[in-house]
Amino acid sequence: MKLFKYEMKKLLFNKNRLILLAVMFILFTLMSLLTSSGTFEMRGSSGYQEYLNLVTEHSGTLNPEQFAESKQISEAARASHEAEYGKAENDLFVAYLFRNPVMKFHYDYANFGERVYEYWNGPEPQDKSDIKGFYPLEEKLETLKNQQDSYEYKYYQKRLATELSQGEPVFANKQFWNNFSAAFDITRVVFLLLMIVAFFIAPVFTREIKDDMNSIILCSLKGRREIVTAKLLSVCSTAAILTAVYFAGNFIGAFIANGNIVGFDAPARCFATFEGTAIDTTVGGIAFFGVLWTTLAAVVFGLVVCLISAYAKNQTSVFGLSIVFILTFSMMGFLPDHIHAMIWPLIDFNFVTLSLCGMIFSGSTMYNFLGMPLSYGIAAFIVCIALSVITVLLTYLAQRKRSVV
Amino acid sequence: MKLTIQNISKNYGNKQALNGVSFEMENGVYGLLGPNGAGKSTLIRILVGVMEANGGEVMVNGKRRKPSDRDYRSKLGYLPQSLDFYPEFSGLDYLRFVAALKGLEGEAAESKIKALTEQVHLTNDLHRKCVNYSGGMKRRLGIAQALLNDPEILILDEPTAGLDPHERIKFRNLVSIFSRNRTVLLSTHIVSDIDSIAKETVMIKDGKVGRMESTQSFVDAIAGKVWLMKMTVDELVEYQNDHIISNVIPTGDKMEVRVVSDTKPSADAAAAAPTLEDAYLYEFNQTKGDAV
Ligand SMILES: Nc1ncnc2c1ncn2[C@@H]1O[C@H](COP(=O)(O)OP(=O)(O)O)[C@@H](O)[C@H]1O
Ligand SMILES: [Mg+2]
Repeated sequence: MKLFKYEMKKLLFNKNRLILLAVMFILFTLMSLLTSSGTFEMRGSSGYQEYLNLVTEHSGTLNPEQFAESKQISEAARASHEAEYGKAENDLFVAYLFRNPVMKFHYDYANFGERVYEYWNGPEPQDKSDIKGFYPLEEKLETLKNQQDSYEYKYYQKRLATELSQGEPVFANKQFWNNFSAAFDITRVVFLLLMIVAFFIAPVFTREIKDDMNSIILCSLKGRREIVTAKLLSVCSTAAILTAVYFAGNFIGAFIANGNIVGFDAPARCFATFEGTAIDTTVGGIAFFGVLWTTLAAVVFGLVVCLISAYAKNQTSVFGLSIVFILTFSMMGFLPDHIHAMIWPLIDFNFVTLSLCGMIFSGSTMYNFLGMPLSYGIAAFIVCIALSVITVLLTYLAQRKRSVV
Repeated sequence: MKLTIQNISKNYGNKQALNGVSFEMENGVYGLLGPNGAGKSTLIRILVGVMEANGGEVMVNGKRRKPSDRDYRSKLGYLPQSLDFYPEFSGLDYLRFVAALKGLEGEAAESKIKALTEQVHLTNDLHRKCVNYSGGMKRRLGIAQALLNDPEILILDEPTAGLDPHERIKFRNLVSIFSRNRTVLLSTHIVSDIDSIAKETVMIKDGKVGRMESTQSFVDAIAGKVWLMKMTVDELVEYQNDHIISNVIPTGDKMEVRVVSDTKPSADAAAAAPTLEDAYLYEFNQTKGDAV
């Protein structure tokens, strides 16, 4: 479609925008390199080879003896570090670990052991309204076995089935993926991705006012409907391309730091962002889902920006309004519980939370949908689709009713 | 194709820009003549459907035209008065984009673009960014854009603004050739744009129009009201305050002054043949009552 081609040229494929895109790519890569700086340090230190050997040797299910040993070693190291630098200096301790890879192994293995314990026994203390852990879930289901039609029973049954299918956590070398997981960090997604999507897409309709083109467009055969289709497609493509560039930059940054992508075939729960995932796949698989989901979220957000653009008078107000929306929603996470209880749909399903991959694929949050437990991911997907349909329809309406001046 | 404009009104807030405008057009070139602020652009925007009237109708072949009317839009070519361009587009990009907007694609679009750019003499500049074009070039590009879909109805809002005399003549010829079997409406405040090509003209002033008449009839209407007389510069300064003066030519130590007046302005005044310009001044200089 010709119109689509020209809309892409206006939105993205022109000199200024492509230069900006290249600059963004470099920025994403640098940010990712910065995040991975510990990895550089670790690769340069003397214990690195021994660390690699230890990790390889202990990959797989938990070895209780090693757990006990690692726990003891890392707790001792922590204690002596705290004696020297004080309790609050966690960053210093992390930096210390990167300089002493062998100690890092023990620390990681001890943490891994805790996660295995928690997988079976649940966290301490348990949240009585939302039981976690394999045995506690079994017990809970036992107490509910006379109410098998209740929502609560179905909910816990589904949760237990998930835990069963995932199995006990395993240990793996996944340093690359630890670094890459920063790309799914919500602050980064909001400030480096969504804001840039808003910036690129804001002028999609307002520029026709600025460049005085509406009078020609609106009286043309395809100026009321087809042009909107072309603009919507260009908005979706631009958002998707920006997301792709964002992840490419992050991936390359993490790759430069690590020199490998080892761990991509480990179980998905080894991926830092997705430790609680219910999806039965590998680290590479869940990262792929995460990228897909973020693309979807960026596209939906792009459509919302497009809708604002269709009703606004100038680009600055579109961009400003979009930013106000994201920031407001980012803040909502800090609202006290009783307010949360009143406006939870706004909090759980706004642009910001919708782009939170970790929550979408990891959370055990479920919604009582007509008595059936609906996982957050599916609920979020439905909301995304509904939001898109509404914004698209309203955008068509705006152009049908538009007049100059 | 018959276009009927019926009792159109338009307000901008409190300001009434059009007040019950009615006239009819069929094939041929029509002139819409009036001073700045008369309401020409407002009327044209309503006619092409990019703005809604507050009252009245536009009828096409006797049927009400709705804003959603694709058939009407497909037959329309429009050159707006103010015209801007995308900074990232070359002239060729721009024409291809408008062609796509008008539903023209592939070979049909390319050959049409080629022919039109030759007619408006832009062939050598097509690959330059059109924001860098001169005022005249931009207007010629605008004219080419309006003609892309061979419109049955061509509406041009002050098409000659910014064109040099040579370009103006070329433009007039282009419109004349194009206008066979088509309806062309051309708004202007410059009389010479239309006096030779518009078969009919409607005068617009303060949002009201007079009767659509043949251009010649405006000239005929002031037969016997145009005079030539001589006076000194000092006399002229005094005289022009309350008389319509359409031209002044210095001759020796006196001025030969062309006056439009109902009555013979002085005993030595000689009658002259009226032009459309005289008629325009006569229409728009009347201060009392409804002039048009
Ligand atoms: N967008 C607008 N808002 C307010 N007043 C306007 C607007 N556009 C035009 N006008 C007023 O309406 C009248 C007619 O304007 P216009 O149609 O542009 O006249 P013309 O094209 O004959 O110069 C003028 O008095 C003008 O000031
Ligand atoms: Mg005007």
